[in-house]
Amino acid sequence: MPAEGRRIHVLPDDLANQIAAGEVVERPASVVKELVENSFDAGARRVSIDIETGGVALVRVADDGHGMAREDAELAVLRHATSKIASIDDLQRIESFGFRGEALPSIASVSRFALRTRRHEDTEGTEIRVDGGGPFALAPAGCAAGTTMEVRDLFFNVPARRKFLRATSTESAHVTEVAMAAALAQPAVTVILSRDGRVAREWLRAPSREERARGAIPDEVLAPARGERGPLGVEAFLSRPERARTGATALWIFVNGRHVRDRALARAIAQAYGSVLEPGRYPVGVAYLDLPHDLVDVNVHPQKAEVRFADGRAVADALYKIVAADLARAFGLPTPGGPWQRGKMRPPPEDEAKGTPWTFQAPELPASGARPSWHSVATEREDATGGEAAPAARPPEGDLAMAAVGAALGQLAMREVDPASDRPPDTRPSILPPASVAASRAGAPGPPAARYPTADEIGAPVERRVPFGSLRYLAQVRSTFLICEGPDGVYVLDQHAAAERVTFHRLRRGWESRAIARQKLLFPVVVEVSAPEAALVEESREAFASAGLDVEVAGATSIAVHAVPHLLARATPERLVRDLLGELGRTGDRAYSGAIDRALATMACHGSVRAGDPVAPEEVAALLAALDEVDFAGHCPHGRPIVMRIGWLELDQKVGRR
Amino acid sequence: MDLVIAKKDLLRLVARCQGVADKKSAMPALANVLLSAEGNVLRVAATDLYLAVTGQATAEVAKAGSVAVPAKDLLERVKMMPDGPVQIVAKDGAQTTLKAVGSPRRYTIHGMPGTDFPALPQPSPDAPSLELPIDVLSTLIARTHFSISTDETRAHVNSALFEWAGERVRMVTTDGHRLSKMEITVGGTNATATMLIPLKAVNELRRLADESRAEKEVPAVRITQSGPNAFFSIAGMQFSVKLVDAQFPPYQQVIPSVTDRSVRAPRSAFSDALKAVALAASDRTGGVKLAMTAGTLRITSESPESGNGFDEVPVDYAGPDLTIGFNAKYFLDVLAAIDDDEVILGISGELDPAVLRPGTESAEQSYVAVVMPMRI
Repeated sequence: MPAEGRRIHVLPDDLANQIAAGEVVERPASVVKELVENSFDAGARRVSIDIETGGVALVRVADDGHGMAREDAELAVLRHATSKIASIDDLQRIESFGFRGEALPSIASVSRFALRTRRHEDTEGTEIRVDGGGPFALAPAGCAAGTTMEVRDLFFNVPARRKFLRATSTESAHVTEVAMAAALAQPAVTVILSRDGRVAREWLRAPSREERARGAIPDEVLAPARGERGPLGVEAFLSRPERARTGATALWIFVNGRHVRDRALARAIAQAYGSVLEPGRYPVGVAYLDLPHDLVDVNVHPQKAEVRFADGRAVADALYKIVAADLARAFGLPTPGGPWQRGKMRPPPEDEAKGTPWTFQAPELPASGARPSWHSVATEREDATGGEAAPAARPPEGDLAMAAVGAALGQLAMREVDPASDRPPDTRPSILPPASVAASRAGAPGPPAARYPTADEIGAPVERRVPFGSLRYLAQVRSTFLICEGPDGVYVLDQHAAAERVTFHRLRRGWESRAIARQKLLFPVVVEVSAPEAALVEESREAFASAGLDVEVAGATSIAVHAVPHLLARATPERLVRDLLGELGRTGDRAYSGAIDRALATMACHGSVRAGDPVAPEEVAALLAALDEVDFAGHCPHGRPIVMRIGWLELDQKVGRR
Repeated sequence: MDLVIAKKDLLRLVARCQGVADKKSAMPALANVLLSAEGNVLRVAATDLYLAVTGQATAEVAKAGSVAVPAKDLLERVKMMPDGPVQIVAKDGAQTTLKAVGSPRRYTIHGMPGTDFPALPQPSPDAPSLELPIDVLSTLIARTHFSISTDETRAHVNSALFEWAGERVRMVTTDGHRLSKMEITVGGTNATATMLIPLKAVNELRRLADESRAEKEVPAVRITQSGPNAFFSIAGMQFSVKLVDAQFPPYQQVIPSVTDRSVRAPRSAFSDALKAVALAASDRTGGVKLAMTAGTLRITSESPESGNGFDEVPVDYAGPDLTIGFNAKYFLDVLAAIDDDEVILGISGELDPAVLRPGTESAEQSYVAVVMPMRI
């Protein structure tokens, strides 16, 4: 980067044309993003973001970066003036965030814009004001070292645009997301987000990405996964599988420090969990991908939210392998019999881990034995280009038939071990929980069911072969477990987990059709919360409403509940709100669908039969029948298994009949 | 303790007390009833520390004393006694023998000394007392008890507000979704009282009042407020309750004084139609939609699982069309509690509270129920 005395210079016209023009400013959050990235590029150690009414009235970003000389400041508000690149060659290896020189002029043209800046070495600062892109007014000004940009009345001169802005809470939520992304991208910078004068979020300077990730997502236990494959370096911090959410909104992915929403990458990470994650669910966490700048194109999207890799599939593939290896170790991803026999999910004891080849721990690329860089492997594959990143970690050609099976990834891992292994297949632990075994038996011609534990394997969780509705209910024991007889053994159901699963299913269906009936309250229930929680409520009002709760911020630290979901009308509104807040707070952003899932799960928990409740046989029959209608009946919404089966064979063995 | 008492008197007392005895308490004494003989009466009492009930009956007391015996055991055994006098003897203050006079049938029950039974609250002698006809108490409770919140964690609404101001007595209850208020004028009285009676006590009171009405006993209940307790004396039974020390919600604010529209509907037809349509409402929701057009009230329900239901009721209404959703149960409770031929439903908008009143109002009685709508 050129770093002479003048940092800012006008781009040549031809270069300007080579840069894809796009709408930079779409909403307040995009302003925040541009300004914060400028601050990072200016070497700031601390960035404060202040917004008012969702950023429409005001966005102010103040940093303690190196500031600008007066002449530079003047140029900064001209189109395609940038300090960051000088020629198309630079564009090939962009390392700074901003580069187009579009941001400030674009923003200044649709707002009342003010810039105050002072270099550390200068005694006097500069203030520039632009109203709606008109001529700028420049004046000397006293200010702290660094740069402060103020954007007031966004789109005041573009009424059509202004009309498209959403509710304040929505815009606020977008800003929070941008700030969160910025904070995660730059661990060494303190980022403070204030909303209407109250500090809503604070990310203090952290020594490492890991610390920042843990600090930003305090409620999750994040397992680290690190590794390199060829030119790709990966550093990821991911939640336990049972904390996963629907949708990838709580999974933050950064490519060379730039936040991206790339479905293929998110899918690769989700698939690294194997089939403990239902399709469409993603872990909470952060993943940083670093690779040489010439292998990734960041100039695809006006807001730079998307990137294009030289070989997207290879990146996803490599990402999957790195993450999968570490996750298996960290979480002891289940093997059949494992969690059940040990009573709970935990990593296998050391000796067991050594003796048992965890499928994920030896995922080398097939055949050759040499470890090719992902780049060279990629070139052998078809269709590696294209704007869309290729589907991640898809089983290669030969096994495509198996891709029909839901948990394709688990099988991919198995395929990769198979050629290298000469063990009899049925001794190898499967990473597939048996819930999908039946499916794979039905659908996969290739690797047959023999590979999976036999149905009578001791303590295996139940496969969904026998409809729950056909089980004969025998008894309830300890007011907690339901004992049923099936054709192939005795079934033990956790009554609470099962009921919860059914309620969850119903709630979720209701939510999807927006049919959660809301009972208005006679007396709004005021709940005292912390300031960030109040901010969260403000941001997430839509999420609350779609969960059936009408909430309003009643003060700096109090919120009022005006309606509750009818299904849970008996639950205490305070508790409901607190639980929802807890769930939403965990995402730290507007991860609506994921948060809603968690919230619905929580609500399902409240509205369901609990352990210790006596249940009538009719209730059990209804519960069993309802379980058959649930799409994923093997686990409760929190990820606990619902049911286990003790096969006749095992019973026979236990009493010495065989 | 040694006494003889008529079986029917003993049975009546024990039966009334055992409802209050707390069988599941961590304090085993609370599962007992206390029997104490003194002078020429036997007193029977039970408490769960929040409620206490005491009754007495004449007995031939040979030796005074007291004993506490398990309520359920005692009741079962007294029931099995032949009609006529029954002798109760407690030895060493605990081992209790129940014997039919003139019959070999007898039971021995393991009790505990009466002194181990918790002391029952007593009103202070100077505490003010009020008298209320039992019919009035019964009506107050009947028209409002169903909207008491069942959430024990919210004591302020897990109770009924009982107020007495001048000649007017009033009971108000709410569960946060609906509210009912009943007011009755009691001529010739002039009193002031405010108390929050917990749900369990309201249910007990209701039972006592209904029983004594059925038995055509003393037509009045004496109410004494003393310290944290209220004492109700009905037909020889004294019932005391620890009042809820909390603030009842400001109910006056949420009862709309006027509503934009008002629908006059035949009560039983409306109730029947609601019941019929609610049957088809979404599982557990009970949500129905009321659509009012001139002269007709249409009731619909739909459930994603089980289809829908429809009915209509001819009503006296002339305003513009409006559709509003409600939990049918909230309406049905109210419609079952009043006995007028007609009800008046007042509604302003689809998010505003609805008001149900009996078709006829008198100066002596006034009843209003407020139901919050449901967005379906």
